Amino acid sequence: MSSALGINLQRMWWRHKATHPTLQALLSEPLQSQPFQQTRYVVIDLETTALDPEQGEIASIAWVVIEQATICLNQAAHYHVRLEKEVGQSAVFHQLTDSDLEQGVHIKEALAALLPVLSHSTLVFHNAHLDMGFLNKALRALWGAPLLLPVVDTLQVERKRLQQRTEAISAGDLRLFQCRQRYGLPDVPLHDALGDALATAELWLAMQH
Amino acid sequence: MTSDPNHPEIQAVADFLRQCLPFNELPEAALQETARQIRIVYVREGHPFSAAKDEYCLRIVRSGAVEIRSSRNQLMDRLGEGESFNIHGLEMGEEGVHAQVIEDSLIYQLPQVHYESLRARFRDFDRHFHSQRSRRLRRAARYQPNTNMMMLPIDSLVSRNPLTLSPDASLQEAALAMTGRRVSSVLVMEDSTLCGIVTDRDLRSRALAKGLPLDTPIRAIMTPQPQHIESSASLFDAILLMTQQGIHHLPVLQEGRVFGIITSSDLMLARKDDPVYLVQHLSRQTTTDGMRAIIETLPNLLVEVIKGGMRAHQISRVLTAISDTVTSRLIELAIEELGPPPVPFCWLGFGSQARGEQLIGADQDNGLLLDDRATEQDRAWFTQLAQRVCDGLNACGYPYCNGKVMATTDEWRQPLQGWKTTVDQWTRTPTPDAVMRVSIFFDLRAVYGDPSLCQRLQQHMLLRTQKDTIFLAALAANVLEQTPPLGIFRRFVVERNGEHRDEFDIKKRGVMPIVDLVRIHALAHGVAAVNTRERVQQLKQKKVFTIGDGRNLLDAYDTIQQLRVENQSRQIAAGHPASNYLNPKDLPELERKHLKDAFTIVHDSQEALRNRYRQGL
Repeated sequence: MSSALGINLQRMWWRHKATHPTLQALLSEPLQSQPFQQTRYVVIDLETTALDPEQGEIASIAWVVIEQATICLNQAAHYHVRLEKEVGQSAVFHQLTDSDLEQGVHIKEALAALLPVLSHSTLVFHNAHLDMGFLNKALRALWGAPLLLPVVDTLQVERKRLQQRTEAISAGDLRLFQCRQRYGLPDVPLHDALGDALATAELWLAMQH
Repeated sequence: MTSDPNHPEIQAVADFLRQCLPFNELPEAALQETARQIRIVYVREGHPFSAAKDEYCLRIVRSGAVEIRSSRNQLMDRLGEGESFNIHGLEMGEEGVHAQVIEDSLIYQLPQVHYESLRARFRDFDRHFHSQRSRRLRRAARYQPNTNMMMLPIDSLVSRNPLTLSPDASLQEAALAMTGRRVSSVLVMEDSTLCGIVTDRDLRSRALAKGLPLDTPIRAIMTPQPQHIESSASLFDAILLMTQQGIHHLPVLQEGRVFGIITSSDLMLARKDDPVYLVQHLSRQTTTDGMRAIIETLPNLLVEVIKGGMRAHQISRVLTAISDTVTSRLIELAIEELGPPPVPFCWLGFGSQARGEQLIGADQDNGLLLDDRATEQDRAWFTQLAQRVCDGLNACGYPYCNGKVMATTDEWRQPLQGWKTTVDQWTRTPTPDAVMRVSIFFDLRAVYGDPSLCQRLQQHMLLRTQKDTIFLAALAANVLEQTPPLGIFRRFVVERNGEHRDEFDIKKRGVMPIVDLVRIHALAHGVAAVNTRERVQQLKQKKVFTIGDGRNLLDAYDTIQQLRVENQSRQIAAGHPASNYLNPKDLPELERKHLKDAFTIVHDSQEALRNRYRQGL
């Protein structure tokens, strides 16, 4: 309870700091707490050039939308972001090259497209900590405030579930594709931001049962 | 990378759709657009779908499994990963059709407007949803690949360096040259171009018969500007041209120059690997070793003829002819040693040999039927015969029968009267053991000896069974124990992680259920044929099967047998012995679908059989 109060206080504070009208509006919306069926979710995945927001940048951002327990792919989006620095090591993971990303958009454009999508929504990530770190850093730099919205982290949901079943959790067990396997979801070979956002969204649907 | 960020390519979905019938036929742009229209839901085991309660859309199973059931709750189909259904469309075909999720499923839904737009724009896509399951299967069963031995180019068969002479050479010179080279024709060349041909026949009919002097130039008797063929032509072209023109020698040209000559005997030789010729070859062998050497080549030959496009029923006919020949040859060799048989007899083939449906790896199922006049002493002669033939068959690669269904077993080597008594016993008290023997025994055929003996036994048998509903019901109960493994497709979808080897015996679970159920109908209606295809034909004529049912059953049979021989061919090519175990994972998507369609038909036919003999069961 105290944390809900805390969040509301923080939201009030940042609302006045925010310089982008949509970001302001988002921070003014009442916090959602509705059953799964009625909740709108935006499932987001980022690709970044490092694991630390202080060192890396967002290379691409993709999202899919869940409305009435249905993933609506016609609302999906996928932005490649033009990098300030070079891709470096993570190109190995994401199979992106510097030249791929030269064609991307400025991070400002991608996030400006994201903000209106988030209205009256709950965010979903697999490993929210990492992605929220990058998003908030970028948002604060651009428009003076972080995203203080309800967040679901499928990784934490699964961790809690496994802990409740008192199963030993070993390294890698909580990776997106390991989690999917436990719910009988199919393997998906692709590894881009949109593919992972979709994979996370399907996992979130499967977790409701 | 250049696509609109708000209109992205969803590769994960597009890649999946590309593996699904009939989406695999769509052009890339339409596929990508379709992927963007998908709406994904996750449904739990037991969740129903019906036309009345759910929105109109095409539902594609991404993972999990779904059953389609009729209004009477009969199973119509079972769908797994990559398969789709439109519950409203199904409902239009048959009222009350509904679907039920039988394993938690991820369902990709394509909304009505987009689904219908695809059907309007792409004919093949539309046809897929239009066609009935049985229609799709029929096309598969009738499909003939056009790669065929007859389509091979002739250049490898052509005799290069043919005998050539100038038109001024004399008749005698030509005759001497032809004799010297042991050929039956000579090409007549002027300035290195072909101007005529002279054959043995020309020398006979145009020179000798007319009494021409030996020094007459061959120009006088040659066929000028003869028919010829290009070296790139196929074996088929060459045979066609020769038969149309009634000629036996065909000069082969390459870019206008003489390349060689091809004769009708070259064409015969070209087909020496044809299994049909093996029969002839086998019948000339005088030792078991000689026969075994030929039988050992059969697996590789099977791989070749399947590549060449031969169909399963043709292959099994040839393989049965081969085992018949080996059997007959062994009997002849035994008679040479034992002396002539003391009384008339008939060597019987049972099971797949009787039906003409043998494949590679068949074991022995045989028996001996003796004339009733056979004395105790005569019967000792036949014991020796049986021993030699069965040993010989085993040595040639037809292993002994595990169930001892062989002429060496006393029960399977009897005079006609004895056989009749046995049949009477089996039918009167259909114990499980008797029923099993009967199902082997009732497919019988005379392989060697006096076929009238076999006929009389078969007539007695049909007379006994035709009206005996209790016996038929016992037989039906036995047959219905083996069901096609429809469930394997569901498991196949679910257990994709390789922990479970989903192999099954395609003979036992696919072929035999059809053979068995067709046999029962044949016995019940006095059909004397033993070959499954012939039985179905006759049952159709007797109106036991509707034309549609009969055709579907045959298509199912052909499809399963075809997959079975192709599977064996793959095993052999991979260096493994041919077996009847098939892993559906090894099948391409379309074949898996065909196999499943076939199993569904078998399943339906078994249901019909169950209903027909229910009162006896």
